[in-house]
Amino acid sequence: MKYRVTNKLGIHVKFGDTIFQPHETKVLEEKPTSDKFIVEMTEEKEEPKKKTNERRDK
Amino acid sequence: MSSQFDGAWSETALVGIAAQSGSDMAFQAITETVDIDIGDKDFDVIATLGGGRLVKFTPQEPTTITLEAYPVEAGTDSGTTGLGFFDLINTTSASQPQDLDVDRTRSKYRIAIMWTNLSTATTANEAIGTNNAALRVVAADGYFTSVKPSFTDGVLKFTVTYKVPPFDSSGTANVAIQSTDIAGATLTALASYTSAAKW
Repeated sequence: MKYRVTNKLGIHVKFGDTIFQPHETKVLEEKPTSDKFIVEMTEEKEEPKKKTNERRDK
Repeated sequence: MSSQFDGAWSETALVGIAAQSGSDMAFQAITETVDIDIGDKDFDVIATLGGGRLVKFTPQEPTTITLEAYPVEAGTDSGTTGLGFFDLINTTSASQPQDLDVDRTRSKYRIAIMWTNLSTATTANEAIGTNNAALRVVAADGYFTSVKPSFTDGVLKFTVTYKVPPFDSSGTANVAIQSTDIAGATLTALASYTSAAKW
């Protein structure tokens, strides 16, 4: 699960080793519980299948 | 929590500190003393040869607010109750354990100190309605300049200094002193502190 995390404050905020600039948004794999952040779940989309160069069997 | 109000304010007070765009955090539970040194509006005197004196006004000095407090944490990682002070002079932490490195950030804060006889008051930024009195000092766009722990007396005490110029770069006031008497109109709540609103 990934989370879109926005620093609500007009100051630098540290979450673990991640430092947020004022009002900066980052995508994290861990969900912060502090009220210093606005946390939204990101919609996980399936990656489109890569085109391959496989030859079609006739 | 109300202050004693019998000809003077005494015993208790409310202390609130807010980062820009942040909630006011209440610090009165861990604070013992508050000293507010409103910046002097001083002047020099020029003695003339005729024995007279000319007044040369000097620009107002910064205001300094000093707290003596007993926090048990490095900073406040979450919530509206102040837990520590080191995050006020460095990048604040939003998780436990708190690991506040010394850095070069300088962050603007607002501090409000209020005395009121409204028994239900819990925050320095709240409104005080009619039939209650209050005195509030609020300073915004200032910086915490000093956080000094001391264990001299066998208890970990912090002396914390906040400093603010009297005006911002546009000439707008950074310090206000507000009050209402018991018969007076409501002392309105402070607006949320942002880059556009000081109080």
